[in-house]
Amino acid sequence: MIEMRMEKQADGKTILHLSGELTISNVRPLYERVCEGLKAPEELTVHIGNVDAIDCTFLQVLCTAHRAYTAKGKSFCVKLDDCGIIGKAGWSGIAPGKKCAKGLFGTCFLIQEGE
Amino acid sequence: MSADIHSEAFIQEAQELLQELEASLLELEDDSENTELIARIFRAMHTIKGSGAMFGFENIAHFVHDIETAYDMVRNGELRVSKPMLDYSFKSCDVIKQMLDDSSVRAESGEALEIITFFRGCRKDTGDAQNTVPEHQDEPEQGPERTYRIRFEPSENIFLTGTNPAMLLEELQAMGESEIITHITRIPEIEELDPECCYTFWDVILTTSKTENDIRDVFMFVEDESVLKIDVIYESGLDEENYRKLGEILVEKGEVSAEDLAAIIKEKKMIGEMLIEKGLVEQDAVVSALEEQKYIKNLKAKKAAAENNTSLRVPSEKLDSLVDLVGELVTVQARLNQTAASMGDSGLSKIAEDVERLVWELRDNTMSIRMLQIGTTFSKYKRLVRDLAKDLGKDIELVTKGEETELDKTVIEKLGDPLVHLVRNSVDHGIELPADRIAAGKSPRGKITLSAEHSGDSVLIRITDDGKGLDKKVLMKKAAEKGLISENAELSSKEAFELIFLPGFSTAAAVSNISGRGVGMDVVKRNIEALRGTIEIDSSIGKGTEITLKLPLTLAIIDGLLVRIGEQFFIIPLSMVNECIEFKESLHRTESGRCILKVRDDLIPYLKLRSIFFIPEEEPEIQQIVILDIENNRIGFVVDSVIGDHQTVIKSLGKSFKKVECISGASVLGDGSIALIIDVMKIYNSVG
Amino acid sequence: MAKTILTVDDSASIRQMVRFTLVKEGYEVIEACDGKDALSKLQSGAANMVVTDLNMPNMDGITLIKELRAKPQYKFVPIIMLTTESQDSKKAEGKAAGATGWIVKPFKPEQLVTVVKKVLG
Repeated sequence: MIEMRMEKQADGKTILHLSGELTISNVRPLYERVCEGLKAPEELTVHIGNVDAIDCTFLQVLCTAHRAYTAKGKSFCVKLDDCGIIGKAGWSGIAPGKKCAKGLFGTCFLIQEGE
Repeated sequence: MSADIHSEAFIQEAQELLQELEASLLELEDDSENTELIARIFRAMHTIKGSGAMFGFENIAHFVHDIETAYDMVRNGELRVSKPMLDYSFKSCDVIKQMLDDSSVRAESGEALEIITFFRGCRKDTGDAQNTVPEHQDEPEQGPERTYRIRFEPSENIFLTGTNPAMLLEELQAMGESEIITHITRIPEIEELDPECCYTFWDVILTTSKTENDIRDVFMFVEDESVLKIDVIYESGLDEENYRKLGEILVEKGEVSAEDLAAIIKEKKMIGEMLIEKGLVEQDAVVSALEEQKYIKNLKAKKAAAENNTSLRVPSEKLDSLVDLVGELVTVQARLNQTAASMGDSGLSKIAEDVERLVWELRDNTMSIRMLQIGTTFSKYKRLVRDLAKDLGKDIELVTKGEETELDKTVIEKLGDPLVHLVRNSVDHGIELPADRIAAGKSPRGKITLSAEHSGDSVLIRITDDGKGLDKKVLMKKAAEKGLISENAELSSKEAFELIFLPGFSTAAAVSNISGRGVGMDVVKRNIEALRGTIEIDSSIGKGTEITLKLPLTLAIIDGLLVRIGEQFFIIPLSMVNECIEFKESLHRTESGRCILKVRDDLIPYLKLRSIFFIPEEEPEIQQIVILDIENNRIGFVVDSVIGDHQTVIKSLGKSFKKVECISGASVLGDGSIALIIDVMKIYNSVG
Repeated sequence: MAKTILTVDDSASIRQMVRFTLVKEGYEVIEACDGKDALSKLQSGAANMVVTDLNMPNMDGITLIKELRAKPQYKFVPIIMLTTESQDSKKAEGKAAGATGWIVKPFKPEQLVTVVKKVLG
């Protein structure tokens, strides 16, 4: 099961809260939401809360969305409550402070603005 | 035990299938073209063969194989049903029946062979002649430690076959130290992305003693559709001057050609940057190569550090055989002492004493090598508690104490299962749900403590929880329902708690997935007793439960009390012996059929080992009674005479004596005769 | 919560062995005697994984795999097929239908556990 909740903020930014099983069976709604947001003049923060499981399909969507938003000059960031979860899934190779292969040179969705 | 239930289930199933098979064969006689019937016959043969091989009826599997093949051919239209074929099929049903009754009936002899030969003749040579039961794979060989680079590029559709590539990577991670580099260059633009495809691929650098084949096995189910490249990049022993240069790694991985690299090197800049700048290599590839370089560098540094360390890794079998040898030595030394004493040669006695001292030292040293810290096993329980608690919606913290306590390796190994069970029990039955805890005025987070400490020549392991505790009334009601005690039995709290160790007792109202797994506390108790340990339970309602395991430090040598009955020597573990007193038949009195002895003011039940072991000789007039302290109860064993302390090197009795009750092993005495080690707990339990 | 595994086999003794082995490992096990039965069992309850024989009456294993993969909730669920050594072509057919992996009969309980842990975790 996945939980997705939108929160419009006063400053116009939207926060997308995610928790539960961030796995392939549930990836499509996220993808559709992110695509939708890309068309609208929306700045998006994905907030990853209590995660039971995560697989690479989610990381793929976040990664490509980050690229697309950035290309349009819009902000897209990912906030993790439990930084461990992605790091613990050591296979992802993407852990805060470690970043993906791309992150070492370019930008990565896991690098927070101002970091 | 479990194998028996399965083979019985199979026998029953096979008999049903044979009936069905005979019925189908009879019908087939009249209707030899009926494909439905043929399919049914094939399936019955197929199941008998497949299940037969699974449950130890290899002869049946072997026998049925050729018949199954023949019917498969009939099914595929390659063979026609003939009269002799039907005759032989009926006969084969009889042979299978015989085989079910008597596993010694061979597939390659007598009537069975005749039938097999016939069916083999039915088909043209297809090549895969007999070989029905594949040989079981040998244990994988452990090679030297190597560092591999594994490139794994799953097919985009890997998720569609129910495979999660992350699990494969986790499996690799479990093989040894590893570093994973994730490549995301193939993730397409958002519009082109199919969220259910896998675009990510990985480089894994893995240091392990497993072989390349073991690594390939991880990818067994996906290898055909994926790109999998495994290279050894570092092997201890093969000493390389230095870790390789970045450019070399990239060339080896085929990311860049040697010529391009040479051209870049001429420009004398940072190679990685240059390569990317020129668009010759993807960033990912450079990052991955950099990671690899760093990894090998660290690995070498660690290895160098390890070489300076004075500790040594030795295969545990070598240690086991050392312990065996020391055991032999202790025995020989006892003989030397005896001989020296009988010869009365003071020079020899002196040497014997020196040898004795050295042997003891050697023994203690050897034993200490086998000692491991129990903490190594504690860590896995943290994970267990965390996962279980989550499944049950509970909030539980596991605290461990005394991780540095040392125990014999064998004891630690055998302690695993019982401890898992006890910890599971605490999580499942002990700790309440957060809401219930708050209602009871406790903190919502439960606490389980796992601790170990030394106590004399034993180690005490305690599992304590601050949960709801055991309810004496509930326990007794349950036991009465199950007929384990009578309705109006009067038990102390302690006796009531011990009910949970009775076979067939389970306290959970519903058998849960976690602790109700068919393995009860009775099994835990048995396992602990097999280690010559004891288990005690203490609990108070609303406050929690404490289970204490008392285990011997080592299994190989114990201090024993040597006693004699008739011509036979026995050994009683000294740790249980309380005292020895003289015993005269005339002093004892019988109360309601039980033998009771009055020692000072205590009444102590006793039994005669002579009658337990059926030793025929006459009882001597004056006997000895050894009084033992078992679980705070005293019991006396009557023997002919007590000889004294004996350092007992335990030898197991071997398979043929496995069923011998009341004896847990044997020891060789100084003069070469054998003493049997008495399994005190068994005797105690058998008399209640 | 404990993961549920559906075992599909027309041989009751195999089903019993699978159940016995997996329950001991802490999984929940439901049984079905053929593909049809499996589909109806899955209507009333969900499974996190399926272990299926191939040769069965009414509906064989390959058809079952195809049917399951067509259902959104079973699109990504691990499915392990039990094959015999003589069914190499079946193995390919099963993979094409969407099976995650296979176990070759006869197998020992430990092999089953290894594979289940491998694909289900």
